[in-house]
Amino acid sequence: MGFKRIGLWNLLVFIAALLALLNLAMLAYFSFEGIKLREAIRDEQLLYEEAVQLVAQETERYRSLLRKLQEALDVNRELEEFFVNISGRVIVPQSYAQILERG
Amino acid sequence: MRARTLISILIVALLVASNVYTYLYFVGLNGYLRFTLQQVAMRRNQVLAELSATKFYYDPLEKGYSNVVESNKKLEEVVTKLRDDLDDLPYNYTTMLYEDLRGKLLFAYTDEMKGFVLNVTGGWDGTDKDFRSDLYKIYKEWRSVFKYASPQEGAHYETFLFINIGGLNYGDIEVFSFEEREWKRLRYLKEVPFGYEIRPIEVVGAPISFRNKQGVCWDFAVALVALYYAYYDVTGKSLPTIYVSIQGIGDGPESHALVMIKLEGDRVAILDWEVITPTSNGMIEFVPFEMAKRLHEEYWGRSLLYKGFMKGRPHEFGHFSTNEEFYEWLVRELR
Repeated sequence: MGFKRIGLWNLLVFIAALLALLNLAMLAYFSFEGIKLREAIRDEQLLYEEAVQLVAQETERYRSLLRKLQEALDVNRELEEFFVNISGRVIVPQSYAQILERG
Repeated sequence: MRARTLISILIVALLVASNVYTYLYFVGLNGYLRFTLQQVAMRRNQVLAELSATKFYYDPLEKGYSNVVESNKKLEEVVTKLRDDLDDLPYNYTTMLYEDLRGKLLFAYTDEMKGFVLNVTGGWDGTDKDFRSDLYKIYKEWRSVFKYASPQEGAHYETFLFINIGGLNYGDIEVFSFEEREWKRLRYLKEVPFGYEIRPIEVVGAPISFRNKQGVCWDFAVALVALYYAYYDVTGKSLPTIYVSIQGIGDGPESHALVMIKLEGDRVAILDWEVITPTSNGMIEFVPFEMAKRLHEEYWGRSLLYKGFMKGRPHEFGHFSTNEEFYEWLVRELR
């Protein structure tokens, strides 16, 4: 019985030690994993912010070119207007132009 | 001994509980971190997709832009060349559409024509008799200086320059609108494929007919109308005066031109190669249209159709299929 009692106590101490070790190991493992995850999140966040910045740059580049295109189209419209207006026109010498309102 | 065992069991139980708690706590925490990582990664992927789309939209935009710029450059070269050509013209000028010019030049009068009228009439003394006498004098003098000449005998026109643009070719570009989230098709002037030409064009009108003092009935009539307009401007009194085109009923398509002056209602004077309506004491007389028409038909020896008119101030013209239509218009609309 005495041996058994000593054995039970030792077993309990052994189990307690194991549980304590397991606890520590779990703590270490999960903490390490947590650190790695936080680092990954930080890295990913940095990449995300970089990408957002790139998109902003690209969008700005796009909009800037779109504005330039708009300006070029405005110039094009003015040129078109010029051709449409000048086509079919007669060059009237000033000497004739002066009397035209009399007719 | 029992107490020590119990304490040991309690410690073991506490350690088990601690293990379970630690496990659950970290699984939850790291699970949340993993979820956060996924979220951030997902957001980054979305942004990357957006980036890739923006780059995808950029290429056609860039291509479209360079197409428009290139077209503008070519078109500006044509404009510059055209402007240089116009600058090289040795006289001052203005430009106007052919149709506008035609209408305005038809019955315009020059200072020379105004001088002619003043010289013939000596001005107006303010009486109706003098007015009608002046109308006759103008006709008579113009008839005496005008010589009939067929178009083969000499040009009855003036040569002006006409600007012609051969044609306009358009192109399309497609750009993506971020605001409307859709592709937009934009049209632009791509080229003037045949460039331009400045070529001579023949124009006719009273100033040219008057200067030539010869021509066909058309020249005689438009110049006479313009001389009357000059007289009306000098005196400040005017009567509706029109160029009329007639045709012999049953004849071919040949037309003849003359001048008609309306007094009021349907009272008119007809001035053809001769004054058709009566004159008295060197004055134009106005008679009802039916009588004027009868005298006119007697003059030509055939039935006549008054088929069209032209007038200035503002320029108007019209066509009639019957004399009744012409009469209706004459009475109701000619002012």
